[in-house]
Amino acid sequence: MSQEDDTIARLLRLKRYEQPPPHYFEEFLHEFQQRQRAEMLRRPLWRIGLDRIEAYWNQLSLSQLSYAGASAAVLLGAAVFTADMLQHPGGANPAASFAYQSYPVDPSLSAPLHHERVTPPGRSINTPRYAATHSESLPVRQVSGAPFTLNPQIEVAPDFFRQPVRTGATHSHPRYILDPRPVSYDAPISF
Amino acid sequence: MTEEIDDTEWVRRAQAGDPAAFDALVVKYSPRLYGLVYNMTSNHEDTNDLLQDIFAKAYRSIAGFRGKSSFYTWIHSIGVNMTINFLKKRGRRFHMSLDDLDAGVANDKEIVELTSNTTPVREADLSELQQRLNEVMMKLSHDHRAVVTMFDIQGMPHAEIAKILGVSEGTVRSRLFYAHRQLQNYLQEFHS
Repeated sequence: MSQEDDTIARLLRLKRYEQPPPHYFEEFLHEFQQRQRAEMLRRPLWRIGLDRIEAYWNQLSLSQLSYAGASAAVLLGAAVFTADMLQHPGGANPAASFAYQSYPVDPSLSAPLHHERVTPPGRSINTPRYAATHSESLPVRQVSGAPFTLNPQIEVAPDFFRQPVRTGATHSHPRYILDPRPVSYDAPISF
Repeated sequence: MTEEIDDTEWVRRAQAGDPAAFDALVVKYSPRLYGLVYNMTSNHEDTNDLLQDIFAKAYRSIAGFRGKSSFYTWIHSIGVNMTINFLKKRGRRFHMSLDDLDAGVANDKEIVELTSNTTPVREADLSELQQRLNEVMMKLSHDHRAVVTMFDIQGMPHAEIAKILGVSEGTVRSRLFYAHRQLQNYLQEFHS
């Protein structure tokens, strides 16, 4: 504390000696009690009732209320989940409602009728020669979807575009199954 | 800590509807609160009215007192807020109504030394100094005056003042710093 602060503090000490008249505080309490009683008499009945209700709510512990609220929320959530499960026995997840057909494949589903390939006329991307001379990816456009690229190194089986069979849900992404025989099983060609 | 336990018990009884318990709290805290309000208003009559209002409000709100802070902090917060609101409404038009200096001031060595540096200690000089002190206190802003009252006059620690005002200790120190600088300027004639 600096000298000036010390001087200020000492000067302000003088104010501690400013005191109300003697017996002031006894009279103050008496006055306060009288005022309290007068206020009680002046208060309407509805106000007293409101105060009692307010006091009752204040007496309730907030922690107890929060526990009760959390328990109610958990029970409500469980009830909603159970009701939903009963309405949809297959499960709530739409992805789980798909089943993918395995071999043997239905011929009507396995034909690649829904895609057009952008290849030079008279050439097939299935030949190894074409793959060797065209290392870039060829665009393959889906008729009803966003275009994507297909690497020509991959041999595409006739039943490449096999459509999943939907069983219930309406929203899904198309999934494709590659032929199990890898491309490396082709006989090498030498010139 | 015994004081806190006592307060807690009085508060519990007052919340249960025992008016005598609240009276005990009034008896205990009215001198301190009187000092707080009086040194912020510099008017005895205003202080008396405000003190009645403060305790009446505390009585009405005691059921909602949860004990998160001490009763001391809680009642002082009510006191400071109500006094500042009153001062805002009162504005600049007021007159000082000062309490008399206690006879014990003549035995306070620091006060005696302070006044004997300039003039001999006489009742007239002390009254003049008291008047001047109250005038300069009224020139401070309400917030600064509250901090000076609680720290310099009532001797509260910074942490307690911060709790009462709901501000950080840094804010309390900052307000004190600026308030002291203002007081130095106003009171220069007394220590020059």
